[in-house]
Parts: sequence; structure tokens; C-alpha cells
Amino acid sequence: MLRFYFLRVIKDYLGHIILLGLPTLLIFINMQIQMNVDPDVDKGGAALYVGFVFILMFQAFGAAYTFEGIEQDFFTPFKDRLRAAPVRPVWFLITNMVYGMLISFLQLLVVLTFVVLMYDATISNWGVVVAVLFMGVMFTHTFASLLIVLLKKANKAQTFITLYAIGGTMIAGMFFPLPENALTEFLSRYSSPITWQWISIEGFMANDYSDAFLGLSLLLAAFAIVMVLFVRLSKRVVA
Amino acid sequence: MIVKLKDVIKRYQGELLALDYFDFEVQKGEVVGLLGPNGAGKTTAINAIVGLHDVDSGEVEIFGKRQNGSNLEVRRRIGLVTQDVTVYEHLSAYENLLFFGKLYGLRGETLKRRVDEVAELIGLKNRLHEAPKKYSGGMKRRLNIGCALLHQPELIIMDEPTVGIDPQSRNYILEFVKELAKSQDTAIIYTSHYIEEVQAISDRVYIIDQGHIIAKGTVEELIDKIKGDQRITIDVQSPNEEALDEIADLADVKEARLDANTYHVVAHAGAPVLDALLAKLAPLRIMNVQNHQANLEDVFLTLTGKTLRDGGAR
Repeated sequence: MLRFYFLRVIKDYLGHIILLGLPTLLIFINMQIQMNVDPDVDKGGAALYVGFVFILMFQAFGAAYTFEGIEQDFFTPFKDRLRAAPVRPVWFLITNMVYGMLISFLQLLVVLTFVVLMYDATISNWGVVVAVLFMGVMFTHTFASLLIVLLKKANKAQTFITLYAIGGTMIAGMFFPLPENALTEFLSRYSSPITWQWISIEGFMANDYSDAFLGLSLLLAAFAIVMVLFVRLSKRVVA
Repeated sequence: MIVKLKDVIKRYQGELLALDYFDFEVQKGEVVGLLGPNGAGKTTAINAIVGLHDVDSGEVEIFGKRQNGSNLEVRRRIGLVTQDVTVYEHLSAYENLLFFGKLYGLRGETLKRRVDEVAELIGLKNRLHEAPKKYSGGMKRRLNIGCALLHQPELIIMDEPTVGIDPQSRNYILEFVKELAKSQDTAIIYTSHYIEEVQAISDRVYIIDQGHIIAKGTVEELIDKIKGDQRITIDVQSPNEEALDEIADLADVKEARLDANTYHVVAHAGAPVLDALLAKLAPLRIMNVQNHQANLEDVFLTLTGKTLRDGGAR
């Protein structure tokens, strides 16, 4: 069954091109613009920053795999066929989530590899940074699974998660600079799990462990809350 | 006994009565038709048998065990053909068959052999590596059925398996359902609102309406119940409701209804009613007159006062 789910996900060629190719293309375009504007720009640092922004945003878009799979298996006529099979329905839920997470994890590895190889970016404490990003992937996919269980429609969940991804990165000032004041400073650090990942990554890379662990703790707490809610609410789906 | 339901009651949202003291049995190797209009309770009955829904009261036994919905061994012995086509459109038919085979515990050479056999049975061997999204409606339906046959279930439940397909595909499906029951000694529950299908393949039939079993028996036994009636259809050029009222008031006419340009009349056996009918309808310009053989539609009409397909009655 696990192999089948991999097959189901892997056959979505267009989705893979978008998820794996689009962030790298956008990074490339962004870097071309930056290098044209300022030929002396720190390519590695700039590419790494843009790479992180797209990783954080696209991990939410990657959650589409999770909730489209869950929608098909639990909120369409497939539900009866799968529930009639000699397999506990919870396994369909778990495999959907696991493969969605794997795709997003693969995506972040592709982006990081691209900025390292293409722009000589250096990632300090890269192992921990990747681990924090993977924690973010786990949070986002669990959050997406909670959304589909609540909303029961993938297109509604997609709208919600898109708003979260774009809104979360924008109000954190990741796309364009926000006016400097206490509110924007607060938003850029604490407004969403996207910024918690961000301050944690920045902290680990700069050896600022107070920020690193603060962001990670907030992310872990959010993951725990979302997971508890998801486990409770998904019981009625898999019953 | 493969399936036994006794006094089953099922309500939705605590109110809508979907099954009302529902009794139902299926023996090994027989094809049992469950016939009723849309919303009669056929799918609810199937869900109770498969264990997808709890029932409010009554007994549901399957393979001699109480159905509680959680027994995986019982599920392994059932093949469910869902009313909607539930195959993965972007995977090939071969991959779909492999998946459903694996889901039911088949592995290795056994799985490959069964995929080959089922592909042959459903007539898709030559197009096995195409995605179902390229198939016709009938081919998708056949694949949908094939996915439920791989593990050679002792009980196959087919919920309206021919909805929305062409007559050729329908005949193909009916033929192989008959063949399946004959050759593999499999019990089959076949639900439909197409009378001719149920009549053609069923050893026994249950007629269901509003959650009640209103009649059961072989096709012959059921038709025997209404054998005494004359069934006359008269096509006219200019039908009207007044004539229908006049016909309904005739002595010996049990029922009369108007369907487009056709008057359908049920009268007592042997009653000299035809002359009176022709006299009443002559001004409307009679085009055709038929006395026809009773079928399950007539049984349903007689017992409920409704037609199976549109619920229209008089």
C-alpha cells in the first residue's frame, strides 16, 4: 500500500514540475534581477534568503498533496470502497500525510542544493536547519490535514492554505520591507509558524541559540496542538 | 447462510427511516436481486451488510458472524462494487487492479495471475496499460467491477453497477455476472432500479420501497402474485386527463395511469373491459393497443401504486 501511494503521488508530473521546478526558477529569476541591480551583491547570502522564503511558502503549497489525497480517500465515493477493504482506514490517512511530507521534504532539499551549487551559498549548522525545516513541513502538513478534515473540500482548504502561505510570508516582511516599528517587528518574529521557523533557522545559522530555540519551541508547541486537534477530529473520519 | 438481516431498523439523523424491520437472506451461490426506486434503501441495506454503517436495531449476520464493521477477516471475503466508479483515473487499469489486489492481501505471482484472469474476464486485457480516463463509461464500469473480483470473494455486492452505460456494455456485464455466479459458486447481491437486469440474472428478488421489503421470491413467484390481472396499454394521438378519470371509473378497472400518449390500464382477469376502453378512447384516435406479459415493474406497480423509475402513480 505504501508503494502504491508513492506511485499515486509520483504520477502527478505537473504537480512535481511546479513544486520542485518553480521555486528554483523563481530563485534564478530573482537572483538575475538582484545581480543586474547590484553586481556586487552577496550571491550566496541573497540566494539563501530567497531560497528560504520560497521553501517556507511552497511547503504550504506542497500540502495540497496531502489534502487532495485525503479528500479523495475520505470525502468522495472512494470512501466506501476503501472502508470496505480489510485495511484500517487510519492507514490511508497516515500514508497520505507521510507522502505529502516526503514530497515537501524533497522540495526543500532540491532548493537548498540548488542555492548551494548554483550560488555557492553556505548554510551554517545545515543539519539542524534542515531538521527545523522538516519540522515545519510536519506542522504544515498536519495543519493541512486538519483543514481538510474540518472543511471536507480540497479547494476550500487550498484557498485557506494559500492565504496562510502568502499572507504569512508577506506580513513577516519576507517579500518586501515593512515600515520599521514595534508592530512590524513583532509580526516579523511571532506572527505565524512561518516566522517561527524563520527565527529558528536564522538563530541556528548565526549561533544565536536563544532565538533558535524560541522559534523551535513555538513551532513544536504549534505542532503538538495541531496534532492533538487532528487526532481528535480525524476519529470521526476514519471511524 | 452467507448474509442474514433480521428486523433491521436504520434511521438517518435519528428521523428519516431508511430501513424498516428489514429482513433479507442470501445463500451460497445464488444471485439475489434487490430492486427498488432511487432512495428506497438499497444502498443503506448494502452498507449495513458490508459494515459501513451501524444499524439502530436488529441483527446483521455475515458468514455466520455478527457484523460489527471492524472484522477485517469478514471484509476480506466480500467484494464491493460501488455505485460510483471508484478507480484511480490517472493510474493505468493494471495499476488499479494491482492496488486493489494488494489491498486484499494478494501478492507476487498470485496477484499477477489474478490480474490477468480478471482483465480477461472484464474484457480489458488489450487496454490494460491505459489510464481509465481514456476509457468509455462502460469500460470504466467493468474495471470498477474487476477491482472487486481480484481476491475471489465469497460474496460480491454490486450496487447499481450499470448506471449510465450503453446497452452493449450492460449486456456484457450481465453475462459475466451470470457466468461468475455459475462458475465460482459466489453469492451475489445485485441492486438496481432496472427491472430487466434484475429479472434476467436473479435467482431470487427482493422488492424494496421506503425501507420496506414489499415482496420477495423468484421472478416467477412474484409475477404469479399478480397473474390474475389484465395489463393493457393503449396509445392515442390526443390524450387527456378527463378520459383517464372516465377509464379509472369503469367497473373492473383496478388502476389506470397516463404516461405521455399511453394509457396503462390494469383490470381484473377475464373482465370484458377492452370494448369499454376502446369506446372511451376512440375519440382520442387510437394508434395502438397491447395486452402485455406481467413483469417485475407490474409487481411493483401493483404492490405500491408507483412506477419504479419515476414514482408516478395513480
